[in-house]
Amino acid sequence: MLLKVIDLKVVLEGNVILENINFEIEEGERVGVIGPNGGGKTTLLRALTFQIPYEGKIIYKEGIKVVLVPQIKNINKFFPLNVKEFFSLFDMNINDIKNFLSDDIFKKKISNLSEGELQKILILQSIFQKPDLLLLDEPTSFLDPKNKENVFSLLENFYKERQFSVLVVSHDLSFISSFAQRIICLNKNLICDGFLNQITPEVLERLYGYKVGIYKHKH
Amino acid sequence: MGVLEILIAVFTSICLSILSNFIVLRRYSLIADAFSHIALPGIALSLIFSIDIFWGSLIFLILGALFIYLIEKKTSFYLEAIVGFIFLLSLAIGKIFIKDQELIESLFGNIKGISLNDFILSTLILFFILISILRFKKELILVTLSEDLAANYKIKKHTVDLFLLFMVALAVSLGIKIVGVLLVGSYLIICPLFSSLFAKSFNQLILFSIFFGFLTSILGLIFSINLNFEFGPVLVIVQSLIFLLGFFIKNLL
Repeated sequence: MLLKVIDLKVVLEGNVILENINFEIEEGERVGVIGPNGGGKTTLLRALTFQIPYEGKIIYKEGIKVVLVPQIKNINKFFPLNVKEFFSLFDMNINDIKNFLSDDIFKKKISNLSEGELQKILILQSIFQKPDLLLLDEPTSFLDPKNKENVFSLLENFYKERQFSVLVVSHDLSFISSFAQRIICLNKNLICDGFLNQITPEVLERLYGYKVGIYKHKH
Repeated sequence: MGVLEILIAVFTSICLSILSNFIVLRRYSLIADAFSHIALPGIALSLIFSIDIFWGSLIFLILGALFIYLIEKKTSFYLEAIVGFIFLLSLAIGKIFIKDQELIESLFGNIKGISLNDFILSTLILFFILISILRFKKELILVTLSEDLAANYKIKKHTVDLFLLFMVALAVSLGIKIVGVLLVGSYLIICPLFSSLFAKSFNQLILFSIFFGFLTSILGLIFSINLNFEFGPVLVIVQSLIFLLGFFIKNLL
């Protein structure tokens, strides 16, 4: 067992955001978290990285490395940090990542990157920290189908190389259903937790409050 | 005007111009500008007890930094307005307790009044700030980019901000002596504006702002000696003209 969450409760500014959350993640497991806006998905990731106060227990296997790949929006246009400088902040060797990126990207400013480029860079940065558990926050939101495919195959490739666990939060049901083995539904409480075939249209309707279709990528 | 004045002006300008980049990145420009006025009651107390105004300013600015830290950490109150409120209160206290001539000096600076002591202080503070920025560059950049990303490295935004404001307090306390409470903001605001016009990387941003602070301080000294004007106001005008020239070249040519 890599992570065990027991009776997690998060209250922010008087509002209960998460309550009665219990789940476990095994080594090498890929878990998707779905749920409506305001359902507490990002809050769960912030609690798991100890950024906000919480009640209950979050227990990691000793000595493991947890890395969060956040959503980064609205980067200050004044910020001239370029991609090369970004990687050098983490003492990363540019030669190791050259194969994954086009040559001209290294001189670009972080604030001028497209969403697809930024997401790719964030994922590369996090993978090279050699995580045991990777927490991904909406890695495919705002991406067009081609960039989605890129992010998907980037993750798949690294996963084949080194079987780390992944907890990915996403609105993108097609992405989640192709990438994750298990799905957790979150809307303040834990609405469901099971394998893909257990997530029926009825469960989704209960989660979102209306009918939702789920389509699987073909790979 | 001797070597001492030139060195202090240059050292202070380097301190303030380096920090100014992080101030703008953290979207603290207006806060930092108003923040410098918190020194006024400290200056009043220094004058009453005849101690160096550097220490009075520093104590009040550090208290101000702690206050901002607590407001940010514990409440979701609108920070700009709170700092603006302290600014008004400080100005009122300053006007009542500081004699008019000394108040003018506090507001606009008096580079002729500096001593060897100030030189030693400015050297120490310059080294402290340079070393801190090099050592904590990653922390300062990451909290600006994303708190969530910084969390991977156990970096806390509020702690980094407090440290940044603490460095600003040191630099501003120096700056008050030479350009005054009102004009110390020119380094904090105009330096990064200028360097951001031309910087293609973060390192360039820092280097250009230091260069700009250095160059305008020297030009400001030359003009203020030759034309017999106060250094502070001359500096602001020189910085503004060079910034506007840069802005014109960059955007309109």
